[in-house]
Amino acid sequence: MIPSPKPEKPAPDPVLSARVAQIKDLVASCIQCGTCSASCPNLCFMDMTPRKMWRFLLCDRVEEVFSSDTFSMCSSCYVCTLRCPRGLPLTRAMAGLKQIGFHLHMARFRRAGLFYGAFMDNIAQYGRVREMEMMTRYFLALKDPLVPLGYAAMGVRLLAKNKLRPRLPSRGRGKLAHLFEPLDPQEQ
Amino acid sequence: MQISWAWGAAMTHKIGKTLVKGGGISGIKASLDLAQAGYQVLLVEASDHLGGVTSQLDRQFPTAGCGMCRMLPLIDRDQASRHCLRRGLFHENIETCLSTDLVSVQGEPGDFTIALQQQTSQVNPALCIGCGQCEAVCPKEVPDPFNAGLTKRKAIYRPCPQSFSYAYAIDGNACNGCRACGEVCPTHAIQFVAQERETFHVLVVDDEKIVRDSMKEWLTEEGYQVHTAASGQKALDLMAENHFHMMLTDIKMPGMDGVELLTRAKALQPDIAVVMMTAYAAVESAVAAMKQGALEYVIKPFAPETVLALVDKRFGEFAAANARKETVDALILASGSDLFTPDQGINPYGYGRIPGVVTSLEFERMLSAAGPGRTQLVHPVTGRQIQRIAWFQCVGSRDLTYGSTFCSSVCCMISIKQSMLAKTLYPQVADACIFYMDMRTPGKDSELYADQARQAGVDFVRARVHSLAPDATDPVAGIHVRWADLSGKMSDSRFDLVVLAVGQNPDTMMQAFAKDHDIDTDAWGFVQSPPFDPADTSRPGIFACGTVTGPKDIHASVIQASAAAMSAMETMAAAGRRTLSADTAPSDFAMAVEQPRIMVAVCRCNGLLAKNLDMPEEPAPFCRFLAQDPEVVQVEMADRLCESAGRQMLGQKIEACHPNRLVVAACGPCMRMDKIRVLAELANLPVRCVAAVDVMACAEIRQDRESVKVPGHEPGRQAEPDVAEPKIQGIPRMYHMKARQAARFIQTGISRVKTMSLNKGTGEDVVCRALVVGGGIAGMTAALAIAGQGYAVDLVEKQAVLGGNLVWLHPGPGEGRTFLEQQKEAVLSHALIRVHTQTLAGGTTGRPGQWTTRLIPVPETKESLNRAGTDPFEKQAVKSIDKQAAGSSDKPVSGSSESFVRHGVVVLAVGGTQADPGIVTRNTGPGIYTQQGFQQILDNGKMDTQSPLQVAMIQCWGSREKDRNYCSRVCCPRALEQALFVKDLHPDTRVMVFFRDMMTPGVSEDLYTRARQAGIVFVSYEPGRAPVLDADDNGCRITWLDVILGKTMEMIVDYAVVATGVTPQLTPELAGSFGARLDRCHFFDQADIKWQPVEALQPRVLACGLCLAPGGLADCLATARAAAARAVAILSREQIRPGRDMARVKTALCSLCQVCIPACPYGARQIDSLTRTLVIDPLACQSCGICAAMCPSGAAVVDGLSAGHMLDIIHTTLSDVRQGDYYDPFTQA
Repeated sequence: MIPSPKPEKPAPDPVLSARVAQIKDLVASCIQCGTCSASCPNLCFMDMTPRKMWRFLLCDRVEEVFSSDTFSMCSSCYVCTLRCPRGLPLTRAMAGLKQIGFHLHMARFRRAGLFYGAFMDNIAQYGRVREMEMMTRYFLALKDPLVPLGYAAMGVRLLAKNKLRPRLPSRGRGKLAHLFEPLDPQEQ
Repeated sequence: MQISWAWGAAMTHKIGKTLVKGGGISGIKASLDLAQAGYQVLLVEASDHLGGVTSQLDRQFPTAGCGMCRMLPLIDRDQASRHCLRRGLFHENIETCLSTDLVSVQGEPGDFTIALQQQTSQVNPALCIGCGQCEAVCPKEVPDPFNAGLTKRKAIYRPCPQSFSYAYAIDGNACNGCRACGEVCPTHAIQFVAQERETFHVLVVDDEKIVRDSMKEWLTEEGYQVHTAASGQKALDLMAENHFHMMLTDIKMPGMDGVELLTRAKALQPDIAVVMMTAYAAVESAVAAMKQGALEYVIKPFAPETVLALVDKRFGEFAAANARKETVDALILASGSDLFTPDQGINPYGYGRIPGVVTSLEFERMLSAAGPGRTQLVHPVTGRQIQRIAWFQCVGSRDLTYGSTFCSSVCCMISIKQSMLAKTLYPQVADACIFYMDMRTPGKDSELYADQARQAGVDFVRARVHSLAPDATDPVAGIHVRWADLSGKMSDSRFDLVVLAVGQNPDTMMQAFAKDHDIDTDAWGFVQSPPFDPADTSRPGIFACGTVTGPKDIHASVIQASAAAMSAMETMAAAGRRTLSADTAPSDFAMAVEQPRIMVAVCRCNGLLAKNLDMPEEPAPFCRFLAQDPEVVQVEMADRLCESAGRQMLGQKIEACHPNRLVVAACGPCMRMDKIRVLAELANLPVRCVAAVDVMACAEIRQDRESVKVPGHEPGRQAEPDVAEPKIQGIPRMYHMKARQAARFIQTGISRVKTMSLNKGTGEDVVCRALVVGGGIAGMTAALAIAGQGYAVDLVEKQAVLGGNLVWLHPGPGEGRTFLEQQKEAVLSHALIRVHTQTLAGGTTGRPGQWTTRLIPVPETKESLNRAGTDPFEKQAVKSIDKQAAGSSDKPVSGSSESFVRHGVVVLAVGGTQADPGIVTRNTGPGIYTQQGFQQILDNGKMDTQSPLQVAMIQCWGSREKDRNYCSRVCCPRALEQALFVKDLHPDTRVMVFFRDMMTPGVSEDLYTRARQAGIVFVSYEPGRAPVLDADDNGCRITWLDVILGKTMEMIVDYAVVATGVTPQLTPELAGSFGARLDRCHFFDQADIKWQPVEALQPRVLACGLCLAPGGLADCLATARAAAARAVAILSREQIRPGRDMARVKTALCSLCQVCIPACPYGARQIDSLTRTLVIDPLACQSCGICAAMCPSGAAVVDGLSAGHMLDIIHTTLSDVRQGDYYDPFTQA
């Protein structure tokens, strides 16, 4: 029989629900046709299809959304946005989810957040990515000596093919700071 | 005295006339309905053939055939041509204008002035005999738009492959002007008349040669006639000789300046339009010139477009002045819609880039025998047989990125039909796969058809393919398709052909027309109808039907066309217009019984007869052979019967010998009904005494058969007149086979007029009263429409109050309620409508059209008053009462107030109710409602609006499966409305909608989008896996398997609403008493689901509303008005006259064995209970002849198709085959 009229849900985090609500509005008119999932080039790296993740989001199952790393695998190629018959800004919604994961310091997205952080620092300093330096900073931030070992073999192969050029880091913040400053409030 | 008054009144009133814009299916249907009701119609079609897009679709669902001819009139059927509508449409009351545009409309209902502009035709349709010689010599080839560009045609072409009625046409854009066609045309039908622009003369005056020359080049390229002059004086000299419509002149010129030229030119030709060309320095003088009457000035240097725009504008005015002006009483817009072209925008499917990607229209042509592959289904590029086909739904519809937010309504059914055809017609097609988002099969037959397709092996995949790429192994012929199924699993496959089911889009030309004429369009550009007038527009007197008003299938278009015809009839009646009374039947009975005196006229066809049939110009033996028949009084050679001069010659010969039958042997177009009519008038004979034979067809037949080797026969032997054989019995041997065949053809014509029907020309009287059963909104609307045309109506309603389902649907004040009250008031106060509430119709006697129906009062019970609006969960007891009520119709209650009504037509509008939900849960408890019950809670405000609620809605509960295998169409939009309403009450309310396919066709898709945006969650489920409800006193739990999430979910809800759909209330007894039947879903069985959607096989039995087919209010109103239009067409006749070919009973021979009655597929035969004779309904009989074949005593005959005539035809056809006959069948013993 029916145990209780309504199960008591734990009170959701107000900050989280407010931000999730914004993203939910972006994809509200989704008809779950699956175009995004079929067209996603990174689908094989995702633990659930984008369609399933949007479905969880629309059903207010936020915990399921943030227990998956689907959105962190989005490489912003915009194919799904271009193909979506409803014209939904799916890439923007993906980015929004990434930001939530990053700003709320969710443990699951620590690595992804640190990677994006290292990437953006590199960009802010040089205007482009210096792979060696970016990865070094990323590994330092991770504070886990085992992680670099996993990349060692690939690093050696890339070096052998002359795809990586070790350079000493430049000093200072570079001259691009004024380009990024106006964006900071938006990022927050 | 009274008669003379009526005659006088009729003379003073004009005959009603309606213009129908668009000659597609809806236009034809609206025209035919109006014509059958006796009004005049002007049918205007912009293209060069009738039939619209349907003429390109060879087969329609569910018959996999074409049934367009089922629209042909059954009432006074001889007024119309009785052949395939793709070949052309002729009706006495319809004037068809092809290649004609409706330019302007002015005025008000009852008095519109319209202007028509016909494209100048290079080919004279009156002279063209369709021989095709011009096509053979034309050097220019262009893609054929009729085959969607998949094949080529010449610059001179036949507009529609099936037509024999239409002349050839010249594509002005493709023609290179070589005039080769004009040289070969045997009838000189190609005239190269000046195109309209060539008649527009422009004069360019400038002292600079370069300006004159470049202007001349620009304008000549646009088709205008341009003259130039270097000075003012020279210009005036030219003007003295020619008339100019426009002058472009420089201002500063030596000698006479532009302003002076303007003054003098205006004096010479006051209507000339003058444009001043000037440099900056002389702007003041240009302005001064404007004051003196110049049209405009342009400042040098100017772009060609500037001048061209001015000339085009002036030409438009010039052309408009030449346009044909007409006065009509009403207009019907039926110009159709456009199809989405998928190569626009991002084009993810690579249409135009990947060779095997085609649109649904292109595929339709590929399936056609007149298409690119003929009888084969082959790849458009490689020419290889196609084995694997995929269909993609929703291309250019339900797509927000293109702004096409509506559903195109028809594509799902088109794709199912195409997949079925591909599977059944071409055995090599191994895979047919439809990729869809929602399979929209609304209506009563569509769901079953989709099931048949599944059984036939068509795969239905719920997935949307994102984009296409050529197959890696076979980039030309293969297409790689990759998709994710609902669970997220990726699949891929290779297909030979991908068909894009492109959506219907609004016609841009129509949008411009609507804008110019104050006709409202909706957000997408479709013509908008007011909410309760399904065929009206915002402008009174102008109506719209078909896809002009939104995406629609044939069925809905035909219904709306009839509804529009009804509206036009109302407008004409309000303007005091009268109908054409059918011409009093000519007394050809006397003529039929008198000894036939047949005259045969053989048209030489400008020498073509001799050439094509290989016989001499004066074939005396040929004529002698035909004259052998003792009843043939004269055989005459005539010439050019298509021209009036030729006809006059024939007329003189006819006057000399006074035949009472005429057989004309000529070309194919002479078989056109309008031409036969002209000949009949010439001979002063009834049309049925004239037969036309297409002897030119023999030329073609022979060409095919000449390859057959026959001993002793040398093909192609030249003919010589045989004068040395005076005692000739047959045609001389020297004559070619073609001539023999022609002679046999003519003999069949002779036999046809010999055995013409002994029709007395009198029909049966029409009982001018209609019975409408059912007082819901459909019944009331039909009754009002019929009564509005001046015919008496009896409206019978079982309940105590009128209104039916609208009573519970619109309980409170609002638009719907106001409409209901207005209709009720109008019905009750109408002088011609007798309303019988609490009455059942039963016990009908009499023959069709002469019915007498008993009206039985229902005993009043308390429950019966409360019946409307009960929820089955609250009042289970209702069912038993319902059964009692149904039982009472079988056993008429003996009461004093019983009455009888005699009526000629019956409209069944008994409606439908919400279907019984059956057992919903193991336990019963509060919180489970049907849609109707939930609506009542919402309407009564019983809902708790303070706290957020949990609401679940389950669609297709017990419908679209088993015995109710149809979609009810109303539940999905209703669920969305309810969900949005609930969501509005409290924003945190959670609404879940469980659906199989959201059925929101057309613009109701907008409701679906809004519901999604409002945060309502939609969960799809597969058949057999419906969510499970579990209820007890604490609440209701719903458990479902979510395919996308891949797990079983559950939710506790406050309200669970099940959508059970609609079930009709029509009983087989009621339908059967009028000779109608119920279909497998217990709805009214239509004569034809597409082409005769509101009639039974017996055309006097009509149905509308929910007992006809499930649908919303707009659908019910449209069917009601369509049924009324059909009823009015019958009632408007004083008599129903039998057609030329019609079954007849020789009563003296008839033994009343009755084997013919069940054999008749149209239910046209019945025993008249009063006279005990077999009677035939002239409206229902289609002269198929089955009765004649069945009858053991030879009492059943079909007039016009007598045994003798049929044997003549068989003899003609088979005489070739019999070896002995092959040479000279006529000399055989």
